[in-house]
Amino acid sequence: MSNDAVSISLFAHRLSALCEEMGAVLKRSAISPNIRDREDFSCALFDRSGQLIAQAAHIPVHLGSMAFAMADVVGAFDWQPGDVVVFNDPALGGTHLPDITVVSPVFLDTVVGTELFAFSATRAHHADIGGKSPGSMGVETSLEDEGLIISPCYWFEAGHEQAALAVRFRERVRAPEERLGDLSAQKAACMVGARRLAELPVAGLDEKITALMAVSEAYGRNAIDAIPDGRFTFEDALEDDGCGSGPLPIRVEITIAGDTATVDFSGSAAVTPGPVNCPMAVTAASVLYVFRCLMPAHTPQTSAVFHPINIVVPEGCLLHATDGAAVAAGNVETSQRIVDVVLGALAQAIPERIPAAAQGTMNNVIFGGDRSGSDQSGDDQHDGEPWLYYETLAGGMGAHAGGNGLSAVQCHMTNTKNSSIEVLEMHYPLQIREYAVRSGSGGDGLFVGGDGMVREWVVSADCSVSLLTERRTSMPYGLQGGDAGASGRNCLCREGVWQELAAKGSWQLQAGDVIRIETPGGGGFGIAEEK
Amino acid sequence: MFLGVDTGGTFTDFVCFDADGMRFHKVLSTPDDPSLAIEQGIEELGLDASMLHVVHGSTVATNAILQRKGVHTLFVTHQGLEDLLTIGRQTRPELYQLCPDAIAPVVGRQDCIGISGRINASGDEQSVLDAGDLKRVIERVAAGGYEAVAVCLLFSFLNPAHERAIAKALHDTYSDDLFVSLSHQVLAEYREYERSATTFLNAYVGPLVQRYLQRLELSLGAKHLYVMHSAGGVMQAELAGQQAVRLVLSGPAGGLVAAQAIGAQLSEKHILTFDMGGTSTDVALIQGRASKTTEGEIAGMPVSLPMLDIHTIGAGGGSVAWLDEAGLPQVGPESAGARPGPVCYGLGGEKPTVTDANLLLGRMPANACLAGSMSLDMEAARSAFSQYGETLGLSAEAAARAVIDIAEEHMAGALRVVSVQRGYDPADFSLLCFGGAGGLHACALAEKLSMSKVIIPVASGAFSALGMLLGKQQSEFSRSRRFALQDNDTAAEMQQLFMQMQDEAVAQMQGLALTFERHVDMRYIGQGFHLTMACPDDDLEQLKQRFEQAHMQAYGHQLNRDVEIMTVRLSAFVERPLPVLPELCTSTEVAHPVAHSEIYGVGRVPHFMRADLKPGLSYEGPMLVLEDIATLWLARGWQMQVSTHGHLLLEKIDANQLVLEAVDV
Repeated sequence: MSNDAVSISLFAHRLSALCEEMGAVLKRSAISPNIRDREDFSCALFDRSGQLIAQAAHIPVHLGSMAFAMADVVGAFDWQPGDVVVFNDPALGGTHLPDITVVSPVFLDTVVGTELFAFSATRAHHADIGGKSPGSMGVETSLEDEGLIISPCYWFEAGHEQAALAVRFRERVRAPEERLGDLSAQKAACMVGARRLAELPVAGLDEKITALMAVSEAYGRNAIDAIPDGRFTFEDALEDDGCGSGPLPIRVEITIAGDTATVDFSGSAAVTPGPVNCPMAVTAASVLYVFRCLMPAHTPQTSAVFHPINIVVPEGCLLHATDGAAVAAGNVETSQRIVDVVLGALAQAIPERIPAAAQGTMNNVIFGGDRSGSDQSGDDQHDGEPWLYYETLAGGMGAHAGGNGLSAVQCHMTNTKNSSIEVLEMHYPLQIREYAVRSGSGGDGLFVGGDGMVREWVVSADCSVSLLTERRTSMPYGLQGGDAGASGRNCLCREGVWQELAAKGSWQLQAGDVIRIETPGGGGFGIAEEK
Repeated sequence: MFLGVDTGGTFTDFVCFDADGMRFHKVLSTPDDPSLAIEQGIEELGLDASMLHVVHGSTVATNAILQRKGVHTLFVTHQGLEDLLTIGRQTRPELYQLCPDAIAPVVGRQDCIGISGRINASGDEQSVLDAGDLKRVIERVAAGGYEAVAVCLLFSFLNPAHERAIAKALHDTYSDDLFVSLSHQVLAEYREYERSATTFLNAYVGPLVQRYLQRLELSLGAKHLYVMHSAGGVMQAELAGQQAVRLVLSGPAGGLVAAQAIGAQLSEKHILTFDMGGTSTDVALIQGRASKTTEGEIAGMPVSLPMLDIHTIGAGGGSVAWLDEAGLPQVGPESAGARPGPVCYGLGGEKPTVTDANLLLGRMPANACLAGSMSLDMEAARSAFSQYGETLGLSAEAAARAVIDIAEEHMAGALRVVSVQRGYDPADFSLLCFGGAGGLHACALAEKLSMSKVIIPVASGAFSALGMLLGKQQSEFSRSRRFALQDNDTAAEMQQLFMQMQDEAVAQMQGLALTFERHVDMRYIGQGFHLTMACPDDDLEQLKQRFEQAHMQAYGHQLNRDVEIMTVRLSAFVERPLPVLPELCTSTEVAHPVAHSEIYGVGRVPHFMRADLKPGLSYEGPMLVLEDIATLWLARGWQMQVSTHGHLLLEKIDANQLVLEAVDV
């Protein structure tokens, strides 16, 4: 056993370094700012049965969902060397349509011949995947309207490109060449992963993977074992689905029994027309994120660490989206609320380890339009070409027993970087007028919640804006007597007149309009008077 | 005569060449005033300071940033964007940390002020910088008692008029009493956060560096004082104060410059360097020249000036071994540092470290002189590893072996980052190893990465100081400007920018014969990252082809897209005859071991003094080679020769050759 411990430790380090290398290739060769600058992607390795054996930590929402994604895809193909499979279907391991996953098999030469051994995969958030709204992140009421649905299909079969995929992109997707360039970068990253894996000494590889999975499960069990047994419930709500339904309660009951946990979402709202539904993979990712935070930093990123966690979501629930339900915001908004309720429940069991609520939204903002004469960016070579700009905005983190919450940072399920103002202004008809910490928005308490942020864009060409935001009327909760953080605000200024915009929706903008987003602050912790 | 002086955390190292050959010296550093150690060293070497050209590697800038002891600095930017440096890239440092500590930003909100003027993305003035703005900035400087001001305005690299106007207003009021850094002068490149941070840090440490170098110049009375900058060049001390942020890698750059020079001497073009210290390990890649990056970072802030691409990981001799929650052995990132240090130092350290493991396995002599004249406590190391191994079911020695394996995996990982992640195969490189602890791991690392050659250079214990003598006087200039490669005007407009930078270089290095090198940052249109390509002439078609090859090399694919240039770069340097390393006499006399020791898993091996090994003979592992502050472990399966300049050249013995020799016997 002991020598195994050493070799497992070495093996785990090697696999995670390998995923980092895949990430380096993807980041540097991708085209769209969302992937290259904001690093909205993840790279992972799976064993031949589709179990996650390593992942580079980039975006938490990808970790759990990737762990969930592959098992189905693996069995659906008769894999050959040179295959590359692409998918985004939320019903088949995807999250929302813009997250496209590229998978390639890894074959090893063994004494018995060439053998399927593992898979390398990358998942990246593409700036557009078609659908009614630019950026594919609008308020639609069906998956079909959200964009191109790609069930797992060959992009390359035994090394030969299948033209169908590129044809579908060119027919359905805005700026298809940019998307295909990003997909090429994803493929390149997969190839690097596969190549490096194939370079590992073949002897005993299977045994090492089995041992790694067994050991990594212990991290999960230890973390749960440290939580007192009991039943803990918590309820919060999504404000609305952007289509008139809401508030939508999200309810959880967590049962801790020894080193296992059951996380039951019975009693949560049913599937709703608007895009806040979550495929099971996203619900799982959100729960697993919280438990992962309770594990030590060096925990191997395998699916086995999550084996002791049983997630229960009834059919027909908003958190178990069925075929055809709109899901664009499930990944980026609902996931944050799932984290809020799971943390809220655990705060009753381990109050000293759980922070008050963070901003509880990713504040998705998508601008889009066609390049035309009114475009100030001077980019006249691309006259008439559609443009898209997507970003998510930071906010406040919750305060905790050890101190104040962080201000103006990405919280929980995302950690994407911002875009440089100069890059944005050089490439798009947008100008940033204000970008600041939103002072005083964190909830008061013995420890104060982190402040949210303010960002103001002036548009210099007619275009549209889509917003998918939350915590615009409700507030991120405080804990142990701390105050809630301030709600966010979405505003439009036209010809000097300010108006408040809804939390979710799309609006046509005129040159000169100003969009202002104030993001929520984090909740406070403890009673302020005890400061 | 040239004297290289590198100030380190513990020692200040000296290297000089004179009629007697190359001389080295070491004195204890004097952190409160580094110049004291320098004066002491010059005196002990018996040199006449007034005859010296001193080239210095200084930690003044680096330490001030790391310890947050820069001067009181005001950050000037646009109204509404005052929090630019606080927000940074809006990411949180740790992904899975629910309760992170809030760390105060280097610059607080109270030290930022916004003005209303604005230049747009085309470089045109969109709103004017009015007199009220200037007045507010001037008043704020006096009211806040600021010693330095950093100004960073959007698109100043296209049109610096507003930054210049602010500088002029400040100068009119405060003349030279106020240190002012303008972003278009510090770094005329796009990306406002990186430019702001670099400019801010320059102002934050500028006055300190200026004062330090002025004092040093006076107290030494040397003929000339130069400082090594992060890109591996040497600059005049007068200039270094204005460009203080260029010194963050002043010392480590020296090591890479030396490695590059020794590589050239040995006709080894492809080198991976490996410098293992007590708490961290630096690695870098040399491909004829040391690679540079513009994505450097210090204390969590970006420094986007070109600097040598040194990758640092928190693993070194002092890295602590521990068992995690699932019973897996882990090494680092916690380090025992110099105090309490490894268990075997006997200074109160209780956790086993990599150094303890090396000692326990017999790979380091117990009477080795470390950091002075310390002798090492073998029994303490053994007992620490007995305890550690018990939980793993391993003997103390086997546990120590495991800890070394894991530490070496971390270090190999770092070497992979600078090679395979950049598209290079380490098997094509030689591993050049310097610093104190690296020699113990060199053979193992080479094997892990399929490398067959290792170089342990002469002066490896004062390697950065040696590099100080081997760097060229050099300055770097850059301008961000977007050019589509296929546009007709591109060649002419680029030429104009290059000429502007050349004029700037000539003004800066007056009276010197300059050589220029031109580079451009290129990318496929729309990509966020660039490759820096040499641009010797205006053949843009050829440039594009070379870019596409380089893209293939680095990322494994090409894109069917047009190519654009984002930034043009000029290096200006002064060619000067560099000192030549003296040759050693060859000898056919076999050196004798000074001792033997039992090494775990290997058996009894001889110890040789490095000074006894002369060029002309070949030695075969396993053996230990000892010098003052470093030990080399020549593993079984490796052979070694001494070059005529005293470098140890290790080569993996070809497995086939081994079989043949066996047959011969």
